[in-house]
Amino acid sequence: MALPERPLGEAITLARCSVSVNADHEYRIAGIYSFGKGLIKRPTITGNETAYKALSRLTTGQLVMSKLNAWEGALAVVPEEFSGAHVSPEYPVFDIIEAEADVRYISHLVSWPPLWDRLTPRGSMVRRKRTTPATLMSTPVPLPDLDEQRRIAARLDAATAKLGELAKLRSRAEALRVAIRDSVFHEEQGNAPTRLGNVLSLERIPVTPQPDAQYSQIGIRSFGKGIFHRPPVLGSELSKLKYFEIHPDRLIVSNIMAWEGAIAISGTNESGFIGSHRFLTYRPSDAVDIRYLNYFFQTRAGRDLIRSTSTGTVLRNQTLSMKDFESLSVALPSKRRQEEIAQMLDRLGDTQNRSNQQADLGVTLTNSLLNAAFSGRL
Amino acid sequence: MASPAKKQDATSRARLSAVIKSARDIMRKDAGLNGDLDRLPLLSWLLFLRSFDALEAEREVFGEDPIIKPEYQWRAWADDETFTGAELLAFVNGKLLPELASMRSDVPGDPRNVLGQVFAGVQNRMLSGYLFRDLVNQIRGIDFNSSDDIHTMAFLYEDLLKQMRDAAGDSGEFYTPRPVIRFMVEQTFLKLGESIMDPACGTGGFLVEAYTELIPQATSRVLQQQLFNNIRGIEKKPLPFLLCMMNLTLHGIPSPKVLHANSLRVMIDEKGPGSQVDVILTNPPFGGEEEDSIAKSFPSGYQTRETAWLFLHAVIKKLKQGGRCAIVLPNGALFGEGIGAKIRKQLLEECDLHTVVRLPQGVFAPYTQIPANLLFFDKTSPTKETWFYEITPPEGSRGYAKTRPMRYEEFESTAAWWGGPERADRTENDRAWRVPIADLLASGFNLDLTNPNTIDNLLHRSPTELLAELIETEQEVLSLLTSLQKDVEDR
Repeated sequence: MALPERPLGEAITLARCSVSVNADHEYRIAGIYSFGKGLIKRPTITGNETAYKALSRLTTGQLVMSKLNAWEGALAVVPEEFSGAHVSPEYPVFDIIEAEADVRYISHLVSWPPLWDRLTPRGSMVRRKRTTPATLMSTPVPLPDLDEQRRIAARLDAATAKLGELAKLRSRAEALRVAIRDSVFHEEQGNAPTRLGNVLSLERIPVTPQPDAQYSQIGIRSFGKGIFHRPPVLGSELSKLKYFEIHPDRLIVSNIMAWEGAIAISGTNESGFIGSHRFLTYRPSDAVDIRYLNYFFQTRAGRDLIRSTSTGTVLRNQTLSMKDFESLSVALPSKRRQEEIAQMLDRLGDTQNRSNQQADLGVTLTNSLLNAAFSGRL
Repeated sequence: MASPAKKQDATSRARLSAVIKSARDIMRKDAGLNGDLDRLPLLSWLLFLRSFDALEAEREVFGEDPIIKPEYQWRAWADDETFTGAELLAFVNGKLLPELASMRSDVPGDPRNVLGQVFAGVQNRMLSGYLFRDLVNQIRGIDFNSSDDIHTMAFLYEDLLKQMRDAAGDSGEFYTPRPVIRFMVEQTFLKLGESIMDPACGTGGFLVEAYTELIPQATSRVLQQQLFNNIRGIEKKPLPFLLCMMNLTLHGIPSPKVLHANSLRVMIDEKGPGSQVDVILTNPPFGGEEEDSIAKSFPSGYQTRETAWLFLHAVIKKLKQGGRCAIVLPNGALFGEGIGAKIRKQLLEECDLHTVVRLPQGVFAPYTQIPANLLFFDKTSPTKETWFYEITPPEGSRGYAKTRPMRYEEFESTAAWWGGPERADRTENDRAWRVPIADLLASGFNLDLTNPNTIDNLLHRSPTELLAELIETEQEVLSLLTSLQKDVEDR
């Protein structure tokens, strides 16, 4: 059953909460996030730090919008903690008429993306016009009777609370996954230290760029985020650096960014790619599983180990020399144990990927709930 | 309630700010000036001459001889409004500036030396003599005889410096945010009579803050003179040096003790207790590189090109026994092997590194995103323990930027925790933790320590235990999702 639509102006009126600015007074300032994300704390300022002659003082339960960004969801109902904060005249403030509307209902309504689309003033994208209070008030919105509003708001409140709880649990779970990885390596520290140079050998297969051929280079993201592919370029456009072939199943270390975890393993996707001399490519011996090493270098202990030899100057060029890297010692358990750990961490990583997908679905779910609510299906 | 004095302050500020604005507008029209990096020095030395003329007038009253020859005095050429165009330009470029740059005296403390130093690096880039005249006329509008104007001018001037930071920032010069300066000065607990130095003083931020902190206590002329002598700085680059001289002069120090020199060279050359100081406050250039000859004059084993380490080493030497230091260092200087570790070892052995304040990323934005640290140490005894204090950006803020700088209030809880000059009753909390020297030694003098009170520090628990907790968390996720589904279906 579709909800009856009425202009929002039947539920709100422009608030009179303007205060004139006094140079010596302090003003707590608020702003509005776009995309229905609520209010944001801005620093407290003194009167002489603003050019505005007047500011609006917010009270709990008022509706406030940004003229400039209302089209992308910069609207919010003022929560308790922002009561007494101030906004500039660019942010019109409205009182919600309690006889007509439920504050919680309005709060959900203004976080509903289709409402933002209705506010988009006519005009080109480049010179988007501001949303005026009049536009907002004349916009038709789903506005059933008070009881129905309260019912919808209560259901949305319950669902939002649960979704918020979910997000917290997810970040807790993510922190636990990191801790598990660190803890697994911590338990292996008793094993005999092995010099990396004894289990890894540098692989350098030079590429002689042909001017007309296409070359794709790899790059490595910091913090264990893996390899990425740069767009292909012609041999003539390559820089003067030396280039080498990249083969699958190599441990690749970026010698400039290794200290912040730019280490990765190449896969079949990287066949045919090239990398500059900045990327040290290592072939493993039979005694080592490079996945184990790769995971180790993403732990705090592993990063610290790399950083301890990444010398050079303080800010720039924390370069890791080949010699230093190869003479690092890492506690290595038996090959079998390395494989077990690598597999276990691979699987742990899979669960993290699933959890990330779940988080994406969560956002969709929120919007879908709002859609259901405001089309009378909740 | 606004006091009458405050009101007057506000009006003269508005008036002066209008003068400065017109001056900048005039300079914008000139073809020879590019950006604030050209405009600010010009404005600075004109203001300097104008303020110096006020001092000269004062000297005359006391029957002393003028320092600048009469024909080069501000009032001689600036007040003659018909003196303009090419004629004026030729006078300024060909006579006035060379004359000022050549001023020298053998008597220490003679203002001629200050003038000679300040004008040694000054060039006039303005091409139009008529615009130059307009500019001079604007500056004539400022009355340096009124102490009100001088104070307001100093305030406005710092504002200008702040704007100039957009133009600086190359070559490792990072403008130190005012709240950081204030916090460091306050937690150093300065006392009148102490010698205070910034060996990389830039435009003089630390010196001005230290001076304004102490000047109210200097109640007699003798004490004032002593304070003038106790505020010392060294700056290598000509532009910041000029600005620093201006800055201090406008704050009321008649002949600032600021050297235009390579500070590392000066600190190596000056040996012996006579040159040592009580307090050092500084933000040395980091990521910069020094020429080989400087690095080579450091003792063997401490030779590096990295300025931050050279400065730290030189600063330790420069402190008197019992002296105190507050220094800004980037994260990268706190860990790593080699010379850095050696200098940190020296620091811990010769000084009591009592506090390390870890700042969040972006405090020095837009110059660098690198997180920095404030190290506080006393040259009293070897370090026994070090307190670390982590400052996190305010809730809801995603870090700092040019338009969202750090604010002093963010230091308030740190200042409250500090415990005064005695650092009394310090306690560990979710931001502060104590590290005994044994732990620092064991880690190879690594000072880049993370807060142990954060959630990701769960190392002491076994993987099995953690996995059990993860499964429990995921089960909660599942049951919450199930109940959500039920809610939605259940209509």
